[in-house]
Amino acid sequence: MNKEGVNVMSNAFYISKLRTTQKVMIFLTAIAIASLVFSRIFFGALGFYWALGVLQVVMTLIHFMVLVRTRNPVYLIPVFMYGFWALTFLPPLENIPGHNAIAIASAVFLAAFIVTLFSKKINWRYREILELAAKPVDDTADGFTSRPFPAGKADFNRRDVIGLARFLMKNVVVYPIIEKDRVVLVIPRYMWSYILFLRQRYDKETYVAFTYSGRINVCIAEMDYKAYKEELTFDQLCASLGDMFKQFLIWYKSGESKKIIGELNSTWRSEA
Amino acid sequence: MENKKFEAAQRFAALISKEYAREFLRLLIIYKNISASEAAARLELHIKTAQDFLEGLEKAGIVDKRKAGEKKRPYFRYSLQMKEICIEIDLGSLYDPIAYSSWQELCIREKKNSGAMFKEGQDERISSVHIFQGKGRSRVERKLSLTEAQGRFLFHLPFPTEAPLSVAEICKKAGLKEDYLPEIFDLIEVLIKKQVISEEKE
Repeated sequence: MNKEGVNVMSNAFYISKLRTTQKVMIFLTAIAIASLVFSRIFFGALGFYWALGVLQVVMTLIHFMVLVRTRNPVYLIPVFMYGFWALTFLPPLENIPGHNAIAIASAVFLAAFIVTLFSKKINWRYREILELAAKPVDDTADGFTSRPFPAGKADFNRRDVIGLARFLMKNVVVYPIIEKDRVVLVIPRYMWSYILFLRQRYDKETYVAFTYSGRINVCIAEMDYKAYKEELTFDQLCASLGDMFKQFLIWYKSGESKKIIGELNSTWRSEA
Repeated sequence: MENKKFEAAQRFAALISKEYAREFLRLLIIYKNISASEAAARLELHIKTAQDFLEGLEKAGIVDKRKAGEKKRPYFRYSLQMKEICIEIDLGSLYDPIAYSSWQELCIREKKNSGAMFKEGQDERISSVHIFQGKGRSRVERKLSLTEAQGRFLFHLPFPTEAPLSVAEICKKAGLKEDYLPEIFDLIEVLIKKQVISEEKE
């Protein structure tokens, strides 16, 4: 274990403990690409640009919603990028004044977007969290249950945990739900479904709940548990996830929030 | 013994819940003795119904049954034995705490792959357990709604891969007083039967 409580990997290359989890995203991307291809084949170049333009408008709206919900200014980059792309490719806007300047701006924002992607500033952290939770767990005794796991107590008050929740939401690590007696940090597989108000319930999702009495409870959804390649010992996995968020809270309280992002960014790094 | 008393009370309660019971008992007060056919004719009942009612009263010791008819085919006449009937059920006798005295030491945990689904309630408790039995079309779901104490107990039940804990230890973790033990034992009994909880040697 290193000082952060995360197991040091003995192998030179990090081997993921998770299977493919983003099948819906792959499917949606495939549909978007297919719609572009079909529009090119059946409606020619004009149809293609219409489809591409409309797609960019949809992406602009989605990212604008993410910007509003997370209040993270980094999301201005994809909003402007997709926005300028829409202005560049939508056929009726082809001859508007300054079209060339818009095209150049879209290229600039594309470059900025690529830099943002590489810096992992807008990564959705579902896989990283599950992967980090699984790192210290080597036993494979299964033992899944839908019951929440009491992960112990921590020293915090309502303000601390709401602050942590806001920070994690800003960095799209979790989707927080503030209840009367606790704050539930939901770790959804598809964060966008919550951000776009398509989902509100969390009873079938993985979450970490901080009750104002100081207790921490962890619930790992069956769907997420099945995403692991092996049947990891369930109580150890829950305890590890609880410890991870306890550490996040400690870092947040001591003003070292950047360490949380650093920890998540280090997920795929081998620590040989 | 207490079981027998309860069953007798149950049988009698079933008898007096009949629609015609009041009128029938009134007849038994008026007549010194009466046969099933006489009562049936008087109350416009089927003779078998009257006979069953009288036999039931006889079993409960409320009427006396005597053979009658010297030359004719013998039959029975019934006479009332008491004018007041008192039903007394000691509800305390339905639960014997001594039989469960060792249960506090019972080491338990959730059974691996029990297939049960737990719904989380407010304030660190489980609100209900959904147990599934059978497969395919014959799969049946049984929902157990839990009391607050049962919910808190189940919340602190060790996971299938955790070391088992005694019932007393789990109650302590859940902050439950001894008053709640009977309902906790009842839940454990059901969940052991349904293979959701397993009894383990520590």
